Amino acid sequence: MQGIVKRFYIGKPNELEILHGISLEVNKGEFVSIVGQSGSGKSTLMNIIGALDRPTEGTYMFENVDISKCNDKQLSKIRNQRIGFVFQTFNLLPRLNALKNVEMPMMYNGVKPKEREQRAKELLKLVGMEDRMLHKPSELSGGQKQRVAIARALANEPDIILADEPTGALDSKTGHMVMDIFHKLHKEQGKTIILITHSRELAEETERIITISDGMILEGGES
Amino acid sequence: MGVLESIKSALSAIVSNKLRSFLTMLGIIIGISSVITITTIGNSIQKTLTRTFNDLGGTNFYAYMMWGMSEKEESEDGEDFQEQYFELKEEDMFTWSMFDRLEEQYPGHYEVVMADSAGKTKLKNYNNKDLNIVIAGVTKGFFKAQKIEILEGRSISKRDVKEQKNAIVVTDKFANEYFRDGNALGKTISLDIGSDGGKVTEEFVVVGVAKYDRQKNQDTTGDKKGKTTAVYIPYTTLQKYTGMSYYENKDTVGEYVMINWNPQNDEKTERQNLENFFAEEYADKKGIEIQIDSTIEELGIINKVLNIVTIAISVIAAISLIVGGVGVMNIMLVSVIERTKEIGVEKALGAPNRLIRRQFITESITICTIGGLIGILIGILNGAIIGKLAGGVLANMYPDAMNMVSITISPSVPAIIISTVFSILVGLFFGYYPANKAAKLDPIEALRYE
Repeated sequence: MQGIVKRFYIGKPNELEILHGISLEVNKGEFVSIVGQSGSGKSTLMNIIGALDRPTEGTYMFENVDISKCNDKQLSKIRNQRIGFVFQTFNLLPRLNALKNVEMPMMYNGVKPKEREQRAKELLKLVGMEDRMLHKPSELSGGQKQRVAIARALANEPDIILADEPTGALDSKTGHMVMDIFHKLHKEQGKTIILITHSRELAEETERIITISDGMILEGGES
Repeated sequence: MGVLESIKSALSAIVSNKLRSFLTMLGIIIGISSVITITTIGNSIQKTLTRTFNDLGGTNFYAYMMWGMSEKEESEDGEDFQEQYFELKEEDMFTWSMFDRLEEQYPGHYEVVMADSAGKTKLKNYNNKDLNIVIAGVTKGFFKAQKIEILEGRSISKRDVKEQKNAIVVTDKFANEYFRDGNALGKTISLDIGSDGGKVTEEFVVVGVAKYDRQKNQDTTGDKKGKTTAVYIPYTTLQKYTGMSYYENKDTVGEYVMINWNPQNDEKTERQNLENFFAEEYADKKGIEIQIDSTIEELGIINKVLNIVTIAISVIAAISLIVGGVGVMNIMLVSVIERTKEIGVEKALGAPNRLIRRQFITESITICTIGGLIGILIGILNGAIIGKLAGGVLANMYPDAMNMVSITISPSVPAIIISTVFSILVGLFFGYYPANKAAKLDPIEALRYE
């Protein structure tokens, strides 16, 4: 990313600039974290990294393609195929069981039902949830839900996994368990993981820490 | 995500909150069931009447007497209607001799078709086994109009009718079941005949054997299973024994008669001839007018009225459909708001806008279609119940007439198809706005929604 600027309410009296020219890079196979306090702009940055939002200025090269200029439809596709989200509050669909939740991104990608089911089962096995794949989210604990969410994030073999405070809603033991899964994915599968957090302690488990404050990168932007 | 999966997903959303889904459908159910009820009743009436008319030959005129005051009497005593009221006497009524004269004047053009029946009764055959029969009182014209084929002997004749003879025509099927050797012609049958007031046993001579036709038999007996056979005696004989005729003179037909005309001839001419005939017959009888209606015309009028009523009710039902549709839109909007976070997650996972939109429209259409189908079923049920009830009431009021009428419950297929299509359209139209709202949600905002 180069010179990313993000402004809200452009042209209006309450126009606000949150990001003031962010430049950073992440390479394939890296496990980095973005650390910042509340109000530092890390959520805004995460939304842009995750192709949920477009920057007002600047370029965002993703695998040599500038996606900062993409339209909604294209962004949607990128999110589906190249980015895997893991949220703090898990965000599993309540009416579907674990298996169907993991299948969801594949459904949007046009994968055939038998294939999706097969792959979903494999992914759940990878995160240790194969015993509970027919359970609904309401029947799972926090840690179990997050594991399902990770499996879901992996569904379409994304280029990066974007984890927003993944342990925020979990107790420390479960939180460690989830981080272990991330480490496993990174070391054994070579996955690229970007972790967003306000906890320095958690960030120190990663390879590189990018610190953001008041809409600017303080350190760690270069790999 | 295929269409089938969308529908499955829609169904799971509908089932997850059954009460709300049902209340949403209610407007659609009421609207559609009203339309289907009225069209079923209307269609059933039309079909029943058409069948009844066709049973009795199809091309019929009804001639009946209308009587009132003569002009002279009216102007003389303008206020005192009671005393001057013209009484219709038996001697003024139609007679069988009159129709003999009609035949003389216009040979082969007209047949008097009168038919009545005395309800089911049982006969024991040669083996003492019970046979179910219906005694139908008919005229010669009936055989012609129904195109009943005579195999042996003859049909009921004009003379049989005029003289109230104890003649009977049976079918070959009956002959085989009743007589040991299957021969009926010339033999005698004992019938218990009469009304609930009192039955008498009378002997009837078989004057003819007709070919059994399942459909024609069913039209006369009303028995769909073919377990009841019709036997035919003269119309006047039936009236005599069942006490339905209260005329002193055997020759009297009554105030009303049905005349079948030859369909090969022109209706206008036939009617004109008939009118002329009656005008002559009643030339010197003041105060009596012979009114001739044609069943084709009456059917036409009845159909017109039914159509107008159907359209009127359908318009009202359409309004209720619109109200129902607004209800659907309302609930879908609530649903979208409730599922804001869910939609945000789906978008974050890469669901394209059109998929989100399609999802909600599918839900809306599914709810409305299910509501429509329930409405159709209720409508048909209502139509059937009302039809049967009406048939029952009429049968109590006019037992003689109703014996010859078989109520056909017939839902209107075009109405069902149109209703189904309409339900789908309502779902599409009223679901579009909420679906669009859902599709246009900003994923970031949606994800933040609690």
